[in-house]
Amino acid sequence: MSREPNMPGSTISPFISPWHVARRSVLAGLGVSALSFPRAFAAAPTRLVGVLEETPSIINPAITAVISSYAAGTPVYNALTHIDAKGNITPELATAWDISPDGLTYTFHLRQGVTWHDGQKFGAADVKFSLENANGKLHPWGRGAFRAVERIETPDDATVVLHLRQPSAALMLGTDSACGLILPKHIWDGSDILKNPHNLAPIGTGPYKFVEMLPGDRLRYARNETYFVAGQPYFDELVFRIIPDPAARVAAFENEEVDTIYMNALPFSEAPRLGAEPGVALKRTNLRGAGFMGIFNVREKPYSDVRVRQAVAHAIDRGFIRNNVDKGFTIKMLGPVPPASPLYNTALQDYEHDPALANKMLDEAGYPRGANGIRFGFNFLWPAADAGVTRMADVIRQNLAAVGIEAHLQPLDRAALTQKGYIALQFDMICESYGLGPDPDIGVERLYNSHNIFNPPVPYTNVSGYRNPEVDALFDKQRVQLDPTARKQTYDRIQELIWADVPVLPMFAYDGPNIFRKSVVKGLYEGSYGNQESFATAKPQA
Amino acid sequence: MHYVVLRRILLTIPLMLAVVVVTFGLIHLAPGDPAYLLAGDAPTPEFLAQVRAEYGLDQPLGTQLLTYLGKAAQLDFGTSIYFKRPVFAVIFARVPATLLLTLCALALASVGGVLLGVTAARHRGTRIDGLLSAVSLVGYSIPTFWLGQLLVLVFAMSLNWLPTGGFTSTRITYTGLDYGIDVAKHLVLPVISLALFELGLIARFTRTAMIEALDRDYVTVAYAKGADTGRVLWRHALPNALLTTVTVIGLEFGVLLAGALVTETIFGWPGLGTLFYDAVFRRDFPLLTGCFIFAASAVIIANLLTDLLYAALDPRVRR
Repeated sequence: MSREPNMPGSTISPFISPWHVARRSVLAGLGVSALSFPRAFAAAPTRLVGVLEETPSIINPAITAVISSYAAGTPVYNALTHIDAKGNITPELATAWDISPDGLTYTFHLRQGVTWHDGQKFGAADVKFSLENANGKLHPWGRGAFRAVERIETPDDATVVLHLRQPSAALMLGTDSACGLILPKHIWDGSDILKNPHNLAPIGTGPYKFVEMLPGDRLRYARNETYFVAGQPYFDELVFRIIPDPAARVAAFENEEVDTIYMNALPFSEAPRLGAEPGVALKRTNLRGAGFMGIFNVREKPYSDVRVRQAVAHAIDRGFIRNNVDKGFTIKMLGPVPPASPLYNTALQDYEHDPALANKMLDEAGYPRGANGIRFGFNFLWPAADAGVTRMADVIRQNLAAVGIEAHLQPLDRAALTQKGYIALQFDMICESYGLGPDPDIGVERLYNSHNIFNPPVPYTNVSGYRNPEVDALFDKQRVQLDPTARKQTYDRIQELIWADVPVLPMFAYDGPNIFRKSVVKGLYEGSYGNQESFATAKPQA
Repeated sequence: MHYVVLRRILLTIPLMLAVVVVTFGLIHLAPGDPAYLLAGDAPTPEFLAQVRAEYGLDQPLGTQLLTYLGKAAQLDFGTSIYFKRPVFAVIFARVPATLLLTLCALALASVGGVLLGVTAARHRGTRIDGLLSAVSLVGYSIPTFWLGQLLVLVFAMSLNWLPTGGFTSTRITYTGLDYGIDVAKHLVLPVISLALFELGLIARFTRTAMIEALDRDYVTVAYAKGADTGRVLWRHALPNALLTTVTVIGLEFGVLLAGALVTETIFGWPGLGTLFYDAVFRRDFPLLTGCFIFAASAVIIANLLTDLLYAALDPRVRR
């Protein structure tokens, strides 16, 4: 087997091939028989088998929010903190932290005796290097989470001090795996982080050591014997099989070839059935807020008229969609902030499904039906691969037809959606799943603050073109409010204003279903994110 | 004969050049900027510009094409945007898996198809012919994606005889002979899924060619000389009928080598098909162009070999 010239070690095997047969046969012939005798009496290694939906292009979730990178990288790395499913911030690489009363200084006390997978000692310099060069600079969420950090000091090897320009209500929520996984300085320092070959050969402090990736086939990991939590991890080996076809992933699980499927690899429509099978557990993870968002383009008529947007909100039967698309995992969501957030405004009133009222509002707004019964069109774009929105689209078309709006359905592949929708802005509504956490400052504000309207446009920011100076000012105000009650009040007002203007119509929020075979494994998916599972607590069943 | 070979080889050069230019143009005409796919969620304009510059996406298309042609001539097809490795290495890493799948499927389809075709022709107009023709028509008509899922449902999930997909087991790591058996088990369903279509195709062509051959005078002469049916079929008629079959097999080999996209995707087979699929959806221009060129080359080379084989089989072509 040849090695990639720029790869450290044999991390990516270029051949997944029958030639393995010959190679292994030769090895077998060269005296492995002598070694295999005692092995026959040794306990077989325990192996947990998961699945990925694609070959990861990069295994470095410290710099990217690509899902397959999270799934492949989280077992390898650690963050300063871990945030559990209830939102409690618990120690990971940091054992404790102090926040100064003015909210401008954060002091993290690091865990001692932690080593990287290559045997080097972990310390404060790694944290400073990582936050300055990776998480706070390159990670799309990290840039928001660490925006207020002015400088980082390391008074000793066990202490990291973050000095802020202004208080930041969201900073602590950026210190977990979502955007705060820590890279080793000795591996990355002095290199172009985007080009460093360790993007595909990660070395971390996490529970599993990366062994190899066979593109298109599998990723392999081995137990980190020196993991800082005594006893963990519990499996000897972790394997992710790469299966691009959703039906094939389900078949592999049903045939007991894989033990677990995480939320992004599991078709939601199959989750209730699989979860109800004997011996199978289904665990919902809330991602600290995620939803299917219908982004209006408010730049041009008729959707620049708030009455039209409100009429569309009344016309679309979101209750029916909630109960029939991804049933069992949908949550009613009003306004911009997801219900999973403690800042969610529960006082908002829904735009109830009322075609008669929608018709009346559209008439009053000056958009009468034409001779063919149609008022205007509705270019509805979504990622074609998302079966959930495809089902939604049929409902939306029927609902809108009832009020004289002709929907033009345009399912597009990812690249075309980005180009046509997010860059060329040729849409009336784009609908797709959005991560809205870990804090609204990171996941929500980007869609509504007019500071996030860019030219040329940038995907997943304020592409609707919504501008409300009062909303902008309130976003600025809450960012420095460290008192949770005061911040909640400001966010309540933000939600009222945005919900009244409805530049984005949330179809529903959702929990991600993850399944695993409980006869094989327990202790999975205990955190908020099913797609950021470290498998540290995953334990073989006796 | 040498002239025939030389002429065929020389003809492939302008063809390859045309393939590269057309492929390059077509791919860049499709909507979608790979820089956005690479840069991830909400990239800054500076980061986007950095990504574009890094992959030469900020250059005019003509410049990109000329640079590409220059490098392609030295077998440098650029770096995959997604995998961040040389395209040549990424593609050739997948060739063995596809080659294994294709050769097995084509071997099965060729033997089965020829047997079916010869038997149907031998019993032309009878119930046996009707039955065999129906079988080959069904094989030819069943959509591969449906057949693949059906095979998984029956043989993997219901009967639990075979794995649902993949190249080897993930549960246990086998070595030596056990590894070979493990791979063979994983091959069975994708090979059947792929072979059935080809078997139908080959059987139908063989049947037609055999019927034509059996009507020829030399067959009558052979019978007149006292040859038995078996000898007439296999020794006299089949070698003549095989010319058509060989052409079909050669063409299909090229097509299959380019990646059995549907079969590989359904069975999670780590070959060129899944690579092609990924490259399309990620707008990985260098990889996609590389895949296209590889596919076109495979077809051109398979055609060339078929032509040469044709010449070897048929003395008339050599003249």
